[in-house]
Amino acid sequence: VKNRVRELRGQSGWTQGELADRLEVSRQTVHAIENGIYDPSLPLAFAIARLFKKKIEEIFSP
Amino acid sequence: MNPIEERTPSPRLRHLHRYYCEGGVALALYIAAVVARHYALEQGHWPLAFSLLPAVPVALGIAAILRYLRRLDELERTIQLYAFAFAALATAFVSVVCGLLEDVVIGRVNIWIVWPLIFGIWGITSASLSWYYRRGSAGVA
Repeated sequence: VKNRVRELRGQSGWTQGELADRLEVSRQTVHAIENGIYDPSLPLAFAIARLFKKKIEEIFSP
Repeated sequence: MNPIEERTPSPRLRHLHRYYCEGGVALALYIAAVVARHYALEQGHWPLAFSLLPAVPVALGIAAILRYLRRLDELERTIQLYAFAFAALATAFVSVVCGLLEDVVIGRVNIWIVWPLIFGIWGITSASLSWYYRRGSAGVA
């Protein structure tokens, strides 16, 4: 699954640590998602979409 | 991030701090129980009760680990549970091999080997998996 998390985080001006704190996950998890090493669960994907005020399909694509 | 958020430790740090506190208390109680057991058995007081006394803080330590696992995020929990499964299965494999070799090559194996073996393999495996998920992190903010 590809995603735009790094791009959206950059637009928000957040570090990985700040995004991790907002999502209540580890920085390692944010890093793994951004690099496509780990695909988040549906609840976490929804939390990311909610945080960036986007639809889930605008962030994640197959 | 506003100044209040900057001063407040993240939930993850609070969870880690709580785990260290709980684990530290369990470890301190374990040391106290081992010392108490040693002196009580020397004096011959309630041998069964004092023999098992250190098992109580060990159970507290296990409960602290389980609470810590429950508070991890989804990737960390995946890593830790996979590492624990691997450690348990590897320890089971080693115990079978030792059992097969017992009385032929290596003699009686002390059952205390299980504790450091399972935690050692768990630690090495979780560190390896964490490294795998952190790979390519150079230069990332």
